[in-house]
Amino acid sequence: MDYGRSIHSIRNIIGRITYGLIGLDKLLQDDVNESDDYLHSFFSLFESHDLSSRGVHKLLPEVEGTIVTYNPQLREELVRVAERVREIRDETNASKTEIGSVYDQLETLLNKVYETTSSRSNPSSFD
Amino acid sequence: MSTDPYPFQEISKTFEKIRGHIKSYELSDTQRVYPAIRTRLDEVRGLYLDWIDVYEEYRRGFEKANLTRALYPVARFLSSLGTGVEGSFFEVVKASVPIEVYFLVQYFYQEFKCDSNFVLAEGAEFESDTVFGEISRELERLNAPRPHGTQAETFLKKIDNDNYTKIYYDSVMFDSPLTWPLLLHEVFHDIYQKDNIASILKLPFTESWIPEVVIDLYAAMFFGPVYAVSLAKYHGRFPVRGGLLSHPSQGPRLYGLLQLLGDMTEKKRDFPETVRKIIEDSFKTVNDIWSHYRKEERDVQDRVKEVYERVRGPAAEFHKSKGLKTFEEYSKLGGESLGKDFERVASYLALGIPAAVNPRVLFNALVMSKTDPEYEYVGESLKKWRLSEIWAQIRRESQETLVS
Repeated sequence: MDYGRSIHSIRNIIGRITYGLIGLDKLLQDDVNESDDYLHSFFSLFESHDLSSRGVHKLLPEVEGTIVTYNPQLREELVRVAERVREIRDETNASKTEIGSVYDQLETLLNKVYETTSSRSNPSSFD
Repeated sequence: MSTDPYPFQEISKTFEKIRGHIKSYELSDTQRVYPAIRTRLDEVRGLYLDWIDVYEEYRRGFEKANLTRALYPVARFLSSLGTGVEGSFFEVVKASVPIEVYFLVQYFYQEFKCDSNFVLAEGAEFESDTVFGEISRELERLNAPRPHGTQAETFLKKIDNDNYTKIYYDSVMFDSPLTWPLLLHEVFHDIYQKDNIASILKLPFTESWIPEVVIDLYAAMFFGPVYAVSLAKYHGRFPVRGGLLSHPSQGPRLYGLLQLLGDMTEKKRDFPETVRKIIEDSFKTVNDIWSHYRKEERDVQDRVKEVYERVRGPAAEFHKSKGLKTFEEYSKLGGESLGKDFERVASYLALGIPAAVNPRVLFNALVMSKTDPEYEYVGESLKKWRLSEIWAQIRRESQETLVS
């Protein structure tokens, strides 16, 4: 793991989670087409980011490596929330309240990522 | 429905401030005094201005994206990106390492005939990246908002075209010249790729860390025993056990370099007396540090030794193909007069007089120093050497003109 430069990777992860929020925001606005583009970016954190696929999502190895560097607990939480986002996306009749609830979960997770990465301690090797 | 413009107007102001900080940042006198270095820094400054332009395009796009709940998270994300650009620029222009270290890195590139736009940057460890690589990683799979914000691609292409390599040193080590030879390792990553060394060597790349070991050996063969001493001493700062995916752990890595030093020790009679002492001192230093790890991952140590055996021949050939001599050849050929150069550095060092000698002589001579050398002394020596090189070149050119 390239610890020193992982700051760029973590910003990218933050970006993709933020894009997930935009996707849910667009769902709340009933703009499914635009929502798809943004959610696609969010799901690209995972190995299988086909929005229609069911089953457990597995983070890309490089994403997992970066997250684990900062806080291993976030990995499980991200997988869990992503699964909820996928369910909402696949559910044609999801209510605004349900979408809003998943939105809140994802936003809470995003806040944790910000919090963890700003208090990160330093690295262990050289490249 | 339209997006509340307030947060995006604030981000716009912030980006403008960042742009101003980058644009108006005044280089120090020492940065300005060398035109080539000033040019590098100004060119990199241009890349960071393009970088903030990319993010400004994203900002413009999101401003018109009709965001409701995601408005503030997006603004926060853009804000953090902007802060990152400023930080990344300051890693370069506020680097604490003496400016003369640029001469050292330039020397490495020139000797191996590898053209590269590079700058030094202060970071958390020794490593390298590029400006384009950094922004690309931040924006991977994050398309610019459409239809507004699509100019981001144009600015990104510009950064890619004018790209610069950023060679990072560990910020804590800016004043530890004995770690500076590790910069050669980072330069060699470039050479390794550009000269396609992996395919020339036809190594069985079963382990992802093999290139690191190969690079260590090439670097040490060129720069001499001090490279091994640098790596060994630096490992004290990050005593990682168990290794990483991309790097073997300390024990095996040092074991590879010990093979090289061991070979040199066996041939010590061929070297001038001072160089012999440098080899012996280096072997002892590296061996003492390695001994703490000797029982660790013996299988990996054996693999590293195997790689060393396979690589040393082709590595010598590679030097030849570049018109270069390995440190071993260089010291043998220089004979006792070169040995005296090493001695001269040692005595100059004691007196605090900078020595205008080739970096290979300078840094290897530092191994004999009882205490860690003052970094200003080494910086001044590099400056003196560089100026003497320029004068020598001017003399050569004027003589050629006279002859013609």
